[in-house]
Amino acid sequence: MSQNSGLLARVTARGSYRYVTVALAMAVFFALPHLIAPFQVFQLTQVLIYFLAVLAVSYLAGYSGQVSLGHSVFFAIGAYTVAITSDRMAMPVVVTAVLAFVIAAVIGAVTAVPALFMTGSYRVMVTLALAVVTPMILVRFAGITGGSQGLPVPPQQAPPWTGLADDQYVYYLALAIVAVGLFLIRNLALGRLKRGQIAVKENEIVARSLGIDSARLKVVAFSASAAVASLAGVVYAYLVGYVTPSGVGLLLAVYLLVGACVAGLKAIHGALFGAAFLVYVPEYTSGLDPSLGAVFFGGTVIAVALLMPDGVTGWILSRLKAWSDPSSARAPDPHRPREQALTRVIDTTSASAEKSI
Amino acid sequence: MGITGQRNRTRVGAIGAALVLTLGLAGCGARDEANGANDPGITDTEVVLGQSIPFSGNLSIFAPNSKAAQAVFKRVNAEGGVAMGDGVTRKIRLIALDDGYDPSRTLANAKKLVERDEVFSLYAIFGTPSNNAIVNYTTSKKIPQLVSVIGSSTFGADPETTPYAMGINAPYATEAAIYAKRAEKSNPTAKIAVLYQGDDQGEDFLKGLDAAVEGTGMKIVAKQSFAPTDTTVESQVVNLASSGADVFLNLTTPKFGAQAIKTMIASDWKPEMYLPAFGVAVIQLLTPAELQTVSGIHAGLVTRDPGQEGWATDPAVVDYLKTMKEYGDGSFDPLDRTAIFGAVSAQTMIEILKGTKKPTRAAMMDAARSMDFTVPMLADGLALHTSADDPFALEGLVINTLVDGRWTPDEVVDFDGKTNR
Repeated sequence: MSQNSGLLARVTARGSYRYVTVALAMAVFFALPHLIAPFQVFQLTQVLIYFLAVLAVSYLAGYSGQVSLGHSVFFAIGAYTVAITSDRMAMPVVVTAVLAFVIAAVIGAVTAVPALFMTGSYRVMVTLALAVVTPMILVRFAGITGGSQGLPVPPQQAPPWTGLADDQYVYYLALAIVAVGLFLIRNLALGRLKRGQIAVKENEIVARSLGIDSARLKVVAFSASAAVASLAGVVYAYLVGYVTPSGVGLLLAVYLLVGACVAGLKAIHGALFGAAFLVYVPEYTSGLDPSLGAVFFGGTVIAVALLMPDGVTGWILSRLKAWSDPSSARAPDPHRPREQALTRVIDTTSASAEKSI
Repeated sequence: MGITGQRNRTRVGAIGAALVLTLGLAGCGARDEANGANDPGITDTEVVLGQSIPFSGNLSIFAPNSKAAQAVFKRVNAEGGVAMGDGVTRKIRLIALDDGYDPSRTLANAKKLVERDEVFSLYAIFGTPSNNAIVNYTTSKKIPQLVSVIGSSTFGADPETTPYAMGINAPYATEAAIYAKRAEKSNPTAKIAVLYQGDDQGEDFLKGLDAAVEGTGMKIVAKQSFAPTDTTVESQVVNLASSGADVFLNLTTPKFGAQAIKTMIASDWKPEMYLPAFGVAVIQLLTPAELQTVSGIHAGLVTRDPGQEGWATDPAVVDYLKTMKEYGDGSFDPLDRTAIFGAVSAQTMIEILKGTKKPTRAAMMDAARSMDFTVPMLADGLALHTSADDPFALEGLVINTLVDGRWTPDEVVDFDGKTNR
């Protein structure tokens, strides 16, 4: 890398470009709701929601090696916290968001602890079980949750001083909450815990022999990921204005994992591709034929998995790299193995399942 | 030090630039809402309707509702269009989107239909959560949300707060009240047992039944629920049978209804039984001997029943089957009750359009709030009726009794204007 003068190398070598990129991205995200139609603002807000939830799932799988099929639970916690509290009292968004965040973090930690005693696919099954029972629990406690009818959430009205339309206001609300979640996940994934997490993920026994408290790292990661997923649920409730058990069922959990795989598990900002995929691809495919839309969507997921095993982000990066530095495309750097998102999920689970046998 | 300083300066500069940009854009303020003189979605030749319904997922079994409606509209268009109340004949275009029964997708669809496709009115949005999820939006945008397929007795109940939202079918609570009234007629001190689906639909039924039984000599002595995912309802029915009830509300879909009847016969329980409108097809799952044993059970019907013998020569049924054959896309069974109800919904929409005296949404709501007609595929004796303070179009049922293995119309019970909100 050091001897070539590829564009990508220059970009990554100089941190300053990154800030320009971030600033540009910020500007684009700030400007968009003023430039597009209201239903497109709604869709873009949906992208932000999925971004946060996909980010939570992909961080957990990509950096902590824990695959969760149950993040719909934490999404539900966020959404229902908003619905249940606003049904009873008017609370500022910040208070509700913090409340949901704390509840989900605690439940996430509580879930992660017993899962520590299990490995691989068994642990995945615990999270799967959570996702399956969530709608049933919500229906069972109808007195609080509204049962299968669900609960309405009063519409968010933009304060007059902002001069914004309501949908724009909810969008900016989502943007602010996404910024908080992104900040948290970035710091966890790339900060102080980074090396410990990677060590635990790659080989837990070696990591433990080096004195790394793997249990603590896993619980922290799961809890944080759960909390961030709940923030996505909070925004969802404000955006849709209605929460039901059917909206937070197993299908959502599977969607989030699909989003994470499409994005690439180690791609933090790349989760945006996964989120956009979840919003725009089903819309496009159901436009082709309403009855066969879901089939086309499934086909697209399979196609992405086959053609872009590193996820969309990995694919774009490898294209960029090949374009800016043709030599690297011919001779891949042995120190940077390809991160194959889908196979990595399978490897993580099957390898640890083997260990447990 | 030098590098750090340079980085910090760049960072500050970049964030500053972003902030300036942001403030500049925020200064643009809210977008202007388009507000033309004519309502969108209607021209001199065409009126555009929008629907959101599950074409995918567990509830995609209801998709024929939309497909049958498309066939009805195509037929009308082929014959020139619908002569609306303002004297202009227009063709109907129905844009149907899939929401997989996920309320967030229904809302996304509603916004797309209104803002991108510029529909004149929303039509037959399917399901309680889906309709509830968009009602704030349609109310604030003043978009008619008509002929909604929703059994909740609270949806659209208050024309003051939701002036644009109206359902079509009888609320489940009203249906339950109709059965209770009929049961009271034959036995004023009936002991009632209920088997219901443990979801919003079942809860609505139960709520209506509780209200209807209150203050009468009747009593609900046993309640059992089941989940749509259960494999059998045998144990529930055995429990109900042991309660000694003499009236049994078997509020199930045909599969569970048949199981319940078989268990009933096996445990020698002989209550007076009522089946809901969505459960009448149960008789196709019973043997002739079983049909003979349970002869005399009741069911509430809303539509004509092309699937049953004896209807083959009914002109409305003949016309319906012809429409489905010539204009349907062939992907559904015209005898499916969902398809039949889809035709009733479409025929109702056509009547509303006929009564719309100006090409505006307000005029359409006037027509929807003064319904007084019947449509071909509705069961004989029933009518659609609304007024300024009665938003529920259908509030009646035809109680049918099983005679010689066939449903035979028995009594029309109409609770028009009496739905308990």
